[in-house]
Amino acid sequence: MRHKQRETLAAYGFLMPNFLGFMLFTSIPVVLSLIMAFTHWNIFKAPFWVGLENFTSLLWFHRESGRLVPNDPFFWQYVYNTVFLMSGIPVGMAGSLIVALMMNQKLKGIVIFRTIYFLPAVCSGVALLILWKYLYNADIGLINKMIRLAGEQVYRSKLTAIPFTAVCALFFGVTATGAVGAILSLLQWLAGKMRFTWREGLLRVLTIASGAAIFILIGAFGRGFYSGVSGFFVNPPDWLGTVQWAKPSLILMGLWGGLGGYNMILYLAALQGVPTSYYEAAEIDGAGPWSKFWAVTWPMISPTTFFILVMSIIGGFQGGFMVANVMTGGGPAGSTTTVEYYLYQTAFEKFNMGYASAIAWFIFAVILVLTLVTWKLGGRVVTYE
Amino acid sequence: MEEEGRLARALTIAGIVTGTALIILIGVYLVATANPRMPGKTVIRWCVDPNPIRKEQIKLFEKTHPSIRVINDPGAEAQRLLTQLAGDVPPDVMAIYDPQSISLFAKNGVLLDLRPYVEKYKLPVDRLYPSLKPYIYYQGKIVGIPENCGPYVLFYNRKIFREAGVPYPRPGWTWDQCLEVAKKLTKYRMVNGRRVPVRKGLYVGNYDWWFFIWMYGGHLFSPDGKTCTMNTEAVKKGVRFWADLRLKYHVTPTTSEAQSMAPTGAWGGDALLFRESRIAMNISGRWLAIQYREQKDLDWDVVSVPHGPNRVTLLASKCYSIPKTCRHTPEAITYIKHLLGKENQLLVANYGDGMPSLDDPAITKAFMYNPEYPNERNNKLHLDEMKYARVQEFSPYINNLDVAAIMSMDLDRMWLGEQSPDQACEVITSRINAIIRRNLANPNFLD
Amino acid sequence: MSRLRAGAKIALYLILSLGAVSMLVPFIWMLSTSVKQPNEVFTSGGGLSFLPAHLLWRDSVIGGEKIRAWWGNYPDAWNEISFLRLYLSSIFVAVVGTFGQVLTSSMAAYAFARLTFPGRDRLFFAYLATMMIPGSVTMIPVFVIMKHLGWINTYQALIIPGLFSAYGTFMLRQFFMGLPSELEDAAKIDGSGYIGIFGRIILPLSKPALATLTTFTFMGFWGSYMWPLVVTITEQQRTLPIGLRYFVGQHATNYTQLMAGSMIALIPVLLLFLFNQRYFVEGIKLSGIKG
Repeated sequence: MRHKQRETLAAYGFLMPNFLGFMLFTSIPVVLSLIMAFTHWNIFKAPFWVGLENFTSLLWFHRESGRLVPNDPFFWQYVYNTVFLMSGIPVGMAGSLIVALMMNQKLKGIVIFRTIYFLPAVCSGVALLILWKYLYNADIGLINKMIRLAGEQVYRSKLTAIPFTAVCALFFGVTATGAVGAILSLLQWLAGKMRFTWREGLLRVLTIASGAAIFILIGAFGRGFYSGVSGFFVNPPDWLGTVQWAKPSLILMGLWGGLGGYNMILYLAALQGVPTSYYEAAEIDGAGPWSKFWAVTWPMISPTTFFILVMSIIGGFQGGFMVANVMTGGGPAGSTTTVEYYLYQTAFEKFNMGYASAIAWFIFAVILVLTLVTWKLGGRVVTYE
Repeated sequence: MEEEGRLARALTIAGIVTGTALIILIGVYLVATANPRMPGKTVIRWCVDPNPIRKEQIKLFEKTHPSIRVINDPGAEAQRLLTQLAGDVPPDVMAIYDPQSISLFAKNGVLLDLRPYVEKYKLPVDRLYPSLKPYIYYQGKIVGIPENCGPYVLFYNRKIFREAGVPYPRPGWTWDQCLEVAKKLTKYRMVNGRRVPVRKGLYVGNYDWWFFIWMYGGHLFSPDGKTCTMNTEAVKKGVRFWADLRLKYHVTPTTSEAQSMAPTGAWGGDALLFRESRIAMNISGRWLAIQYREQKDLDWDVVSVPHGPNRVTLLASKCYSIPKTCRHTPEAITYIKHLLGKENQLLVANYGDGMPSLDDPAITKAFMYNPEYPNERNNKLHLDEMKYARVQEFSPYINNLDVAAIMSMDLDRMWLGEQSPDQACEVITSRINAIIRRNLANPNFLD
Repeated sequence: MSRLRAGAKIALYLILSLGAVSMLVPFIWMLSTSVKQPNEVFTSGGGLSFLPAHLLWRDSVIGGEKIRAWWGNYPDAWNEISFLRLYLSSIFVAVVGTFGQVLTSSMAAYAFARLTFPGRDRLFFAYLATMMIPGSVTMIPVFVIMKHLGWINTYQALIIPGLFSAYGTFMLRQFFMGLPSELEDAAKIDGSGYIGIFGRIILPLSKPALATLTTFTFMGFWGSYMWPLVVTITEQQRTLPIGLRYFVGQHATNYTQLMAGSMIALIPVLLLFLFNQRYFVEGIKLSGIKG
C-alpha cells in the first residue's frame, strides 16, 4: 500500500513540470479549438454557436438536380490527395531502417557518412524544393535527361532494346511480386490477430502463384509492355505537370528525404540500444544474419518502429503545406493540395475559423482512428522488457 | 585509466559550467538590450514585404520626422497578421494586396476609416488615380491608401523584333495583330528528332484569365455579383482565343516548355524568360522593370496590352491600411502621408517597382524620364494605360480563393487537353454558381 | 553489431557513397549559390548552375560590370540584417528551450514508462492526441493566453510554450520502455529511490535517445518561423529564420545572400549534430551487472 502510494507520488512529481505546460499551452487551446468548431467565428466579431453546421457543410452531401453532390466540392479531393501522399510511409520507414542498419556498422569514417546523410534535414527547405523542381523538369531536369540518355542509347537498335526491356520486365515483375508478397504477409499477420490461422506455406504458394501470374501477363502483353517501356524512356513524362505523375513524384521526393534525416537517427539510436549480449546469445544458437535481425533486432526496436509509424501518420495527414505553397502551387488541377493547406487558407485567408476548426477536428478524428488501429495491432507486436 | 576518466569528467564539468555561464550572460545581455530606451521616440510597425526600397523609404521619413521610428516588419503572412489582430497586437501600418481582402477586412470593421483625418493631415486622397478606387474605398469609407500601382502592359524585346524585320508594335494594337507578330517571332530547333522551342513569341500565364474574359466585353460576375457569367459567348470567345494561342498556334509556351527555358517556373519565371530573350513579348506590370534593368544587354520597351473590340487592361496595386486598434494612430497617419508625399512618390517613380499612385504633374514628369535609364522612353504609356486599367472583379458572395481554386483546376484541365475551352467555361460557371447559391442560402455567410 | 567480411564491407561503402552523393547535392548547391553573383543563380538556357563563373578574392570590374569577391555575399548578408543579435537570440532560445524540453520530457517519459499510477495510459493517450490537432487552429488561443500573461514580444513567449512536447515525451517513453529492466531491479533491491534510478541508471543508458532528442529539439527551436513571427514585434526579439525572410522580396528573391545567410545559420546545428555523434557510438554495456 505504502509502496504504491510512494510510486504514484513520485510519478506525479516527475510528471508535474511537463504536465503544467501541457495543460496551459496544449489542452486549453485544444479544447477551445473544439468549441470553435461548433461556432461561426470570423476572428473579428464575436463567435456565435451554429451547432453542427460546419461539420455538415464540410462532410455531408445534398441533392442538386437529382444527383448527390458534396457540400464542399474541394474537400474530398484534398483528402484523397493527402491519403495518397501518405502511401509512401511504409517504404520510407523500411528505407530509413536499412540506412540506419548500414550506418550502425563499425566502419571507418562512418561518422562522415552519418553527417552527410543527415545534411538534407538541416538544409533550408526552400532550397531543397527548388532543387527538386529543377530535377523533375520535363525537358532539362536531370532525371529526364538521364532517362532520355539511357533511352537513346538502348533503343537505337533492337539488339540492345529487347534485352533491356526484358531486364525491365524482370525488375518490374520482381518488384510487383515482392509488393504482393508483402501485402499478403501483412494480411496473414492481420488474420493471425483476428485468430484466423493460415495454412503453413500458404503465403509462399500464393506469392509464387501471383508472381507467375504477373510474369505471364507481361509476356502475354509483351508488345504493349515493350511500347510502354520504350515510350517511357524515349519520352519521359512531365513529372510535376501531369495529374497522374504529380503525386507519385512528391512521394518519391519524400522517400529520398526520409532516407537520411530524422527517422534514420531514431533507428540508429534504437539500434544502439540493443545489447550486444543478445546478438551473441543468438549466434551461439546458430542464427545467421537474417534470423538475427528478425529474432533480436526487429523486436528490440519495435517501440521505435511504432513511434515512427504513429508520428508519420500524425505528420503525414497534417503535412504538405510547404510543398504545395512553394513548389507546386497546389499542383496541376489541384492534385497536390492537401487538407492542411486548405485549412490554412480557410482560417487565415477566408477568415473562417469555425470551419477551419471543423477541418482540424476531422483531421484529428482520422489520425485518431488510424493511431488507435496501429496501437491495438501494435500492442501485441511491440515487446517491452 | 582512472586518471583519464577523471580528466574527461573534469573537462565535461568545466565545459558545462562555462556553457551555462555563457548562456546566462547572453540571456542577460539580450533581455537588457531588448527594448532600448528611446526617449521621445515613438515606434511604429510597418508590415509589408521587404523590398530593398523599404529601407530608403524609412530613411527618408526618419530624416524629417526624428521623433518617430519605423520598423519594417517583413512577415505579412496571413496567419501572422490575423493572429496578431485577433490577439490585439496590431501592426500600425499594414499592407493589403488585393481588393477582396480589403473588403473582407473592412466588412469586419478591422480598418480605420481615414475620412476624419483627410482634412486634418491634408491627405491627397482625391489626387490618386480614379481607377484605384477599389483599393481605397469601401462603402464610402476610406480604408486604404495605395502608394504605387501598375497597369499591365506588354514588354517587348526590340532586338528580336529588329532581327525578324517586324515593326515595333504601337499602342492600341489588337490581339489579331499581336498573334501575327507572335507567330513570326516563334522559333524552334531540332534536337534529336524532337522539335524544341528556342523562343516563343508571347508569354501568357496559365492564370492570366482577366485579359481574355474582358477581351470581347465579357465579365466574370454579373454587376450584382450573384451570378457567374463565364459561360456567356463573349467570355467563351475570349477563352477560346487564349487556349488557341498555346494549343493551336503554339506562340505561347506550355508550362513545361516555359520551365525548360527557365527553371523557376512559378516565381517570376516569365521575367527570367524575357531577360534571357526566350520570349519576345511578356504581359506584366512595371515592377519587372527592376529586373530588366539588371540585364544590361536587354533592349526592351513597353506597349499597351493588345485588345479586342474594347481596350482594357488589368490594374494591380496594393494599399496600406491602419487597423482600428492601432495604438499610434497619429504617427501612423503621418507615415501614410509621407508615403503619399512628393519625396516618396519620386522614390517610387525612380525605383521602378511600379507607378506612383499620385496623379501629380511634377511626379509624372520625373516618372516619364529617368536619366539613369534613358532607354525607358515609353513610360508615358503606363500613365495612359491607367485610363483603361480595371481592377480584377470579385463578388462579395464567393471568396476569391474559391474562385481561384476552381479556375485553376478547370483551366489546368483545359491546358492538359482534357476539356475544351467551352467546356471549361461551362464547368467553371456551374461550380462558381453552386458555391454562390450555397453562400446566399447560408445566413451566416453574409455577416 | 556484427563483424563483416571484406567483400560485404566494400559493397557497403559503395552503396553508402552513392547515396551520400545524392544527399550532398542540395548542400553543394546552397554553398555554390552563396558564392555567386546575383545574376548567375539560374543559367540561361534553363537549369541550375553549380559552378560560379568568377571566384575572385577581391572586388573587381570585369567587362564593365562590378564583380564581388567570392566571399562577398557573407558580409553583405551579415550587414543587411542585424545578424549578430539574431544569432544570439536564436542561440539563447534554442539552448534554454532544448535543455528545458529534454528535461521535462525525460522526466515525464520516465513516469509514463516505468511508474504505474491511476490513469497513466489514458493520460498518455491524451498527450498523443494533442499532437493530432493541426497547430494552425491552436495558435490563436495560445497567442491570446500569451497576451493575457503579458508575454508578447518577450523571450518567455519564445521559449516556454516549447518546453512541453508530447513528441519528446512519446519518443523517450518508447525508448525507456525498451531498456532492459535488470539494472533498475537491481538498484531497487539496493534501496535506491526513483530519483536515483532516474539519474544514475535511466539517463546514462539513454544517451543515444537523449542525444537524438536534443538534436531534434534544437533544430525545432532553431528553425521555428511562424510562432516567433507571430509573437515578436520588435527587431530585437527576432530569431534567425525571420531575419532570413528579409531576403525574399515580393517580386524577386535575393538568392545569393539568402543562401549565404542560410549557410551561416546552418553552423550551430551541424556542430551540435557532430558533437552528439559520440553518443551514438556508445552502446549499452551491461557489464555493470555483477550480482
